[in-house]
Amino acid sequence: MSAVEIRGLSKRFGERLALDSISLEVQRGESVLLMGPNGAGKTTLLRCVVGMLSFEGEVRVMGLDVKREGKEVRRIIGYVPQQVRFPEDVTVYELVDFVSDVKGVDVDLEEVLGPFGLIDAAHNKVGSLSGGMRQRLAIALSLIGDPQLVLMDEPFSNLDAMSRNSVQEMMRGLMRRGKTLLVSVHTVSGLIHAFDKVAVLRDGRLVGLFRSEDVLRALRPVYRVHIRDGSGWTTYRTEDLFGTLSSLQSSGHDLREVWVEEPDVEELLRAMGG
Amino acid sequence: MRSAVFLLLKRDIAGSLRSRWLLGFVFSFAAMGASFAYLGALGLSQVGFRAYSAAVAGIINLNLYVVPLAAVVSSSLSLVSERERGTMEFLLSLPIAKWELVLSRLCAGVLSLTAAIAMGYGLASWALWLFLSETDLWVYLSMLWASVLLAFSFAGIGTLISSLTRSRFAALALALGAWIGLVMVYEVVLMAAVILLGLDASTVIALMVLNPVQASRLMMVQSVDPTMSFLGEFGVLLIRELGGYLQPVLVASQLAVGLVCTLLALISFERAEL
Repeated sequence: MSAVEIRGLSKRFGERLALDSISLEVQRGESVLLMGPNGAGKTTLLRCVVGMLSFEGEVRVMGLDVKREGKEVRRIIGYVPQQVRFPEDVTVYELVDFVSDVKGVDVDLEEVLGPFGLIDAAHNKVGSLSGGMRQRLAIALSLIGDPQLVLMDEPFSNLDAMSRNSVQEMMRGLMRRGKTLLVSVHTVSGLIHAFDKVAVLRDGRLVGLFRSEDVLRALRPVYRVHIRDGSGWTTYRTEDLFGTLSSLQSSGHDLREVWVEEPDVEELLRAMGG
Repeated sequence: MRSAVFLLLKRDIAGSLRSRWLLGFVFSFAAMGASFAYLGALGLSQVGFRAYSAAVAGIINLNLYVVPLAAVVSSSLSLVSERERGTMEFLLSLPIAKWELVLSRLCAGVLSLTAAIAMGYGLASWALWLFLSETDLWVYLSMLWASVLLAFSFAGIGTLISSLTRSRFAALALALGAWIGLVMVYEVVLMAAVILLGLDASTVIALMVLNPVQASRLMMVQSVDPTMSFLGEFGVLLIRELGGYLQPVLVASQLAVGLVCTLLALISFERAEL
């Protein structure tokens, strides 16, 4: 049984066709990166899979029909929205408590927040958290209930290079544990190296589903990592973004002082015939 | 596992308790309740509430202004605020059905208002206990019950408005429009229709009862003056036409308005996109 099975998925917003007859299958334990420029339909696709939007066609998650069993689908998956907006006047602890109650699971606060460096903020109001902390909280909340499928919509937005590095480490950890990942990004992020497949979207249509090795071979992405030190900015060119970030961190550099230039997603589209 | 409605209700009521508006309403209802007690004790009427004085009529009218306004305004913001703040996506990404969200919001609104009304009147009840008879206390409780029913009707109207609108401004404008229409304009239009169109008695009664404000007013008047003689010929007509069915009809009318609006809100919210 596939983790996600999409057949003939179309979605209209008034006159605008946001998704046009998309068919895609994600196997259990597989990690798929959903790539495309802004407005390609990535967020809409993920929202349909989660059952938050009505649509034409068929979407099954772990064998469950999203249209009829949307609530059950959302119980067994984890979802990180693109714009992370939580109620501001509750504490992090209250939010964790609420999500675990709704999902019907018991959780250990340390286990949920610890890996994301949020345990000290457990009793802070959500409204007082920085953008990066909220993003990490969103990911932490999505993992409550140990979901087999995790969907993330632009998980790197609002994150500095250090947090990006820890999030991609976390994703690798999930992959090692056999979880299925469907993650959308609008830049050719260094995640390609870690993922099994890349699904390329453009103008609401699926350009193709490619193996990551093929994408890397065709695109040969080069990242430019700019790091500020005492004497100014130093630039490193690399094909392995997160490998470079990890080695910079282990050599004592502060990754908060890093700026990463990624290849334009149009390059990917050209390379893959989109 | 606890139901999502219960968990949302718990969260929404906690939110209401944190807000200052509830406290404001508690004091406004306490002031109204104390006025009832004071006027009764002063002997503006020689036998407590049962003799209907102009002062008590004024307080009933004030109640008929404040309760609908509080209910329709607070509930009209209940769904649209989540949508505008962007927290709706977070809630709908959890195993929560849309109908559960609508019902929890409505129930939280009605319960919070009921608590405010009960606490407000409760603050003054000790005075009633000291100065008034058991019968007057019963009248007082009838007024409270009528206020809660009225709050339910207008919370239903407000929830419908909230499910239909995309911004808080539009929701507030519609809520105020509905309040002005039903509390102020309706009666004037009805009187004009009676004069200009020469409506027959049963049509006038039906049109009066259809408006929850008028139904509540009649409930309150009858709790003070069971013969409805205060309303003159119209009161006599009401008793003659409906007799013992008057109270059930008035209750049913207010419940029907609340329930029909809630049902329409459920349908509209189910169809709405994020």
